[in-house]
Amino acid sequence: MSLWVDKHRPKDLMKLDFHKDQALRLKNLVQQSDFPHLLVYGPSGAGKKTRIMCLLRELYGSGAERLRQETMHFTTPSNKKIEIMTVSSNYHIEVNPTDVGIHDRVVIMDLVKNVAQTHQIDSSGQREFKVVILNEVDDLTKDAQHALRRTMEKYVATCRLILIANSISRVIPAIRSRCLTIRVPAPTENEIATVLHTVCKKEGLSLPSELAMRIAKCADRNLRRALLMCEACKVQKYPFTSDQKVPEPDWQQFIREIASMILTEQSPKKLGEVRQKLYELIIHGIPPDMIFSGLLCELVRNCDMSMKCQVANHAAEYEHRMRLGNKPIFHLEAFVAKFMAIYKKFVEESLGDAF
Amino acid sequence: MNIINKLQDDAGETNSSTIFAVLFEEFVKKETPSKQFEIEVFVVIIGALDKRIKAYQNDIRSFFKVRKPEDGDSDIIPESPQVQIKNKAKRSRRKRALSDDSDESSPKEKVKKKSGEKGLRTKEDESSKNTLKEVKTADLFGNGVIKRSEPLLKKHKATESGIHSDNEFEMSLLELDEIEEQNTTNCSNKKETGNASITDKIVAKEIQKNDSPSKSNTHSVSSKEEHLLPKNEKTNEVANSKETKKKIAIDSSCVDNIKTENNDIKEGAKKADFSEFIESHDNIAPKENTPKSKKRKLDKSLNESVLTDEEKHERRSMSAALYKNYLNRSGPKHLGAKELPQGSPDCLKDCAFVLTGVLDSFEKEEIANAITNFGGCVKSSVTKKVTHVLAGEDAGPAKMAKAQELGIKIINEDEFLQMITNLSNNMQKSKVNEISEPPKKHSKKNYTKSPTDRKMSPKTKTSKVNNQNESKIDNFSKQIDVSKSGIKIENKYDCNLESKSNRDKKASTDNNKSEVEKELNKDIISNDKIVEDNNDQVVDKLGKPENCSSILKSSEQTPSSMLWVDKYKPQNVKQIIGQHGAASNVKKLSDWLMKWYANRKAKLPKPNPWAKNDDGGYYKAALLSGPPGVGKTTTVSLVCKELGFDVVEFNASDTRNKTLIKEQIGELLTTTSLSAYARGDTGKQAVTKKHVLVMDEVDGMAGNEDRGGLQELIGLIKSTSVPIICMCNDRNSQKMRSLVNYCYDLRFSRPRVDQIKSAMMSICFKEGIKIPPDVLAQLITAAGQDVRQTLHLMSVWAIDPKLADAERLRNEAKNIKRDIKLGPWEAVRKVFSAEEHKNMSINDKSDLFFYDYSLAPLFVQENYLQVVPHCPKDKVLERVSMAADSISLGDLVEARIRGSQAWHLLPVQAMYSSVIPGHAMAGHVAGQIQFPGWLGKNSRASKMQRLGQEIHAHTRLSTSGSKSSIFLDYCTHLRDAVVTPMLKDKADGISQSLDVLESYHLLREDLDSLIELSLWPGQRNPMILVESKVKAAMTRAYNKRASALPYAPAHVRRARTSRDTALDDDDEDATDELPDDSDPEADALIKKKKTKDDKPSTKEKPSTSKEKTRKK
Repeated sequence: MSLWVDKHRPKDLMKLDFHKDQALRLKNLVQQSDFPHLLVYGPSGAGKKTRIMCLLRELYGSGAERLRQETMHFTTPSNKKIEIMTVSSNYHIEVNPTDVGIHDRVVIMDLVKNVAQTHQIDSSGQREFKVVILNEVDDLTKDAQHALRRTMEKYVATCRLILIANSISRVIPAIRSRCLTIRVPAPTENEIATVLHTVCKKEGLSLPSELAMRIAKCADRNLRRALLMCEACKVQKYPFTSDQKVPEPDWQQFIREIASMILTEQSPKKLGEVRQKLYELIIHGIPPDMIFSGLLCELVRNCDMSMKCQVANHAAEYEHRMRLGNKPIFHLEAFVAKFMAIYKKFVEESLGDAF
Repeated sequence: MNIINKLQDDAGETNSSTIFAVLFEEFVKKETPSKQFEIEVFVVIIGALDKRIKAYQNDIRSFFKVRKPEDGDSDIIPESPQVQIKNKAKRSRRKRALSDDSDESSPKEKVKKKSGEKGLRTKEDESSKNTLKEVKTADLFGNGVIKRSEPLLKKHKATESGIHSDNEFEMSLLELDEIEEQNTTNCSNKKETGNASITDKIVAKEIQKNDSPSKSNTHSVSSKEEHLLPKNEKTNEVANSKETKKKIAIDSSCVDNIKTENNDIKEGAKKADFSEFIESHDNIAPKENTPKSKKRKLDKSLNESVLTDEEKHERRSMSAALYKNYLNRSGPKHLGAKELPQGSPDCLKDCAFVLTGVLDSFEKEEIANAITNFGGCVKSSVTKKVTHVLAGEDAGPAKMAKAQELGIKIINEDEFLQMITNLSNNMQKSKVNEISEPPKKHSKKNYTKSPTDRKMSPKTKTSKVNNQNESKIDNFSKQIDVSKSGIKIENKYDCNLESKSNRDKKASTDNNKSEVEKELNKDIISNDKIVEDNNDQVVDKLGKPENCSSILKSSEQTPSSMLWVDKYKPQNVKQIIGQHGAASNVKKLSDWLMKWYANRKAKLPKPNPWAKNDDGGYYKAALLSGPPGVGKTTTVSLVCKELGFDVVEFNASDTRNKTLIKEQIGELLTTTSLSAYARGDTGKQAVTKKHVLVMDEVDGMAGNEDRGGLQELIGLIKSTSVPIICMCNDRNSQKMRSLVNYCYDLRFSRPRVDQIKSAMMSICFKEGIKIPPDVLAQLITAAGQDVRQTLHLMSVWAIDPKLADAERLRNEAKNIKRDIKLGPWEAVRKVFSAEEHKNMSINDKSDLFFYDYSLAPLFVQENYLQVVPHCPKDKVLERVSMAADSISLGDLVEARIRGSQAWHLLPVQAMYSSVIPGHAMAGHVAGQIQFPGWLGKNSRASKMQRLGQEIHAHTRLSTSGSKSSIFLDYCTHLRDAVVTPMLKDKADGISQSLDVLESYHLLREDLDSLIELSLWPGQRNPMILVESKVKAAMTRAYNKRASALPYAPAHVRRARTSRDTALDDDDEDATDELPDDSDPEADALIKKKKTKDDKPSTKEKPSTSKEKTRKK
């Protein structure tokens, strides 16, 4: 018994709930049989993966849904043995190269070569190419991205690549230009609410539209989160009431706590406590950039406009540094310290003005 | 002789008798019982000599009669004068024989008058010429009585003491015994010389002297023998001198008093003189307690007997106190501060030493060894043969007194060392220059009063003069007035002191005292001075020993080219710095080594690891651990040397892998050592089986070369038949963990600064460099109390020409401190300390980063918030943010460095990560320096990432999100989906929970990871709320279910491959047996079996794996 989010996942391009015109375009693309490399990007919870799975089904039929997991082994040039889990059907292979960290280049080169060099045996009724799906392309190292770029051209006859990314800003232009970029935007709150209603109807539940809207709002336009929250609401309290509490993710609460800590007191001691909380977030696998954005959102609420700009500027700078550096906590802390300094000065000035 | 006779003639008979009476009166006044006895002896003597005096004995006896019963000696209660004499003669023939003649004449009397009773009278009545003639040869040389005399004496002594309960009486008896022993030795001496005439002469002399007041038979004897003298005198000078010496010593026992009296009589001295003499005696008697009083042995004994009970008690308590002091006395104050000079092997030849007191910087054994090494010998008590008394602090007063009495040179430690160098220098010099013996001897004589001189002295003319002088003094002093005799004695003293003949000196002192009394003492002192002056002059003439030694030094190139560390390496265990005392490691190690073989037989139990005072008897190996430069290796080598073990050493320069240890060392330990042969010993001890295996630097046993070495070493320890000593720096290191359990743990700590300092000061002194003590202390601290390091640093200073400048040295010591490696804790404290910044350049500040560039940025980041910057309060946050900003930039640089191996950027990182934050936050650290928390947090974070990735991989087929979606969204909801049914419906919810797990292809372990991932601080673990019964049921149900997994569970598979790969290929039967085990391990096996069952199914029809989900 799966969660709703997986249970009611649409399996056909035509059955998708939103961005229907885009789905139609994809269907046409497949039927034309000219299928370029794709670069699908969009925020998390917008339905990229679902769309791609539907596309594969469109391409190969239901055979593409028979998935299996395999572990593949690679050897790096430095003789290190690495293994990576792949999900594959007869027609495609899906891999998450960032699982192996800095050795992703080896994975990409070897895997793509392996797949591309073998032709489809029964090519009569089927496509002549296989599909390689690479997840989280924007997190690939630059080396891996460069390695990708040549193979994309070389093996275009036997395999197509579908790259999935959250943002193409971190994908090198060379790759971007070789792919058909498909942006999957996050669903609007209304669309999410509609989806929630459909799901609840399938489950045989009645969902008040107010609650649906509230959930959609809370979910930050993330359909996955919205569905999960909706199910959690159902577990918490059923039948639904429109004013029932929508459970928020713990990490969001945590970030809010941190922000309030920062705003209540600005001192090195408090900064020390904040540091421990930030560590906790990082330990729980919350991506530091989300911590940054979460913090910034919470912090700027209490700032006037000029200060908002200043704070956002600093947040951007430290976030950038964090991407370049190794230890996110250093930069998070630097940002918090900076904000404390600015905020304290601001508070003191305003107090001074008052008296 | 004529003069004597004349004097005897001159002395009036009546005179002498009255004088005797007065004398006795004086003696009796003292009223001590022992005195009485002695006086009795005198009476006997006198009675034997003079009839007339005998007549007076009645009077004397009347004095004694009263006292006799007190003595409790019923045997000698006199009835008549005759009887009394008889009785006495009976009572102690030996004594009588001795007292009668007090020397050589005794045997003859023994022989002749066995009855003893008549002896005196016959002697008086008849002409004693014949008897004397008869006696001399036959009795002395043909009679064995003398040989037997000793045992007889003892018997006698015993009976005597049995009879006479009085202590004083016994004592005097013992004294007499001693005297007779001397007599007998005299006799044997005479035998050796084989010259009858000498004995004759001596006998004559004796008698003559003793009997001088009387003009009777003895006189004629002496005159009769006179003609014999000239013939033999010169030929037998040696013997003569000896004899006279001894004779005088003996005479002094009982005759001295009389003799002096006689002399006085002859000088016309009156009663007053006597009283004066006696008074002087009295004066000397109390002095005896003080060690410095120069006393003859017998005088002493005489006066001892004079002591009252109170005095005796006092003395006893005094000696008890002294003994207490002796027991409590401390060890050498500056042990190891001085070094024994390298003397030539036999430079102390013919020297005999007595060691007393506590020396300043040596142990007694050390010095004793050195003396024997240099050819000298060490005596336990002060005797005449001893040439030097080496006195330290708290020297035994008795020894000192005796030494002074015997005129033995008392030297202190420094003089002793000087003596060795001087002597050996002289010897070397003579060798080098090939100078013939005489000058060498000469120099020796002047320097050291060596025993050769003593030997020489009797042969030289001085001794002749000596003898002559003595005899002259004996015989002629009666005529010579006091001043004249003083001059004579002066001469004699010159001779005596130069030759350092103790016996001569003693004898002469005797004479001096008795004859010239106190006044002469002054002269003696002045003589001493003169002698010393003379010596000095001779030294100057001969000498410049300093020059010689300097030449020698310059010729010896080796020590100067040696490293100081080797040069001043401890030569014995006592010299190791900071290893004294009973609890020291040296002591423990040597005890352990000594008892090693015994302990192997004893089969001791393993001691409690926390037990104190464990002597390590259980362990077959010892592990010495401690920082470098504290003397671990030195300790081991010296202890082994001392205990006679042969050291087989393996250090880091040897390859020590498994096979090598097994083969080489194992072989070595079963063989016997021939190293003693190499050293030239060929005795039984040459072949020794006492080995010690020393594994130096065991913590260096690492890497590929030494693979398995430690394991093999442990194996070796378990089975060893010899002691093994291992050494390492850090016993807590991971590598040592296993070894530590098999070793007796001896931890060396750094010696204290003052301990090192004293040793260093003495080296400074030896090297002739001047370093102020406080600077030295600073240097030692700067070197981290590492003795080796300190020595190296000092040797660098020593060659510095501008050493004299103390101020500069002080600065340098400070600088050296900077050269020492700081730990990250101290370094980070310095980074933020405003005080330190004042005198630090930017390079110094960045150096703080480079103490450990990988940890320093972390330390700075961890601790900068604890710093209180010295700035206005409103600026604090600005400073903090400045520091944080800089730290974040430092991280960028580090990423660059690590990412592209751009190590040249390290100084840039130093600036960003350490110097700028330090500058911004300059102040003081308020709290304790913390260890970077980042390391721990980072490892936790990566663990979480791993768990998340695992879950992501497992749920891949049914979810669409990326890894971060697991963290952000799925984990909480998945956990709730599994746990909530169990919370709500208890056991009924289990199937629902398992359905969720199955649909997401999760393992039981993944549930735990999910809980861990989703648990935030301040939240409760929802699994705790689930009843343990339900939990157990759920696990059981899960195990039973055996759902198909689309993947091979990684960890189970891994466990299986490690356990038994053979089973993998086996058919089902083999695996079927396994689940029956109730072993906890069976759990893993059950799962394994399951996966094995599953695996083929998934592989056989992979396409159906998806369809399997339709089960739900």
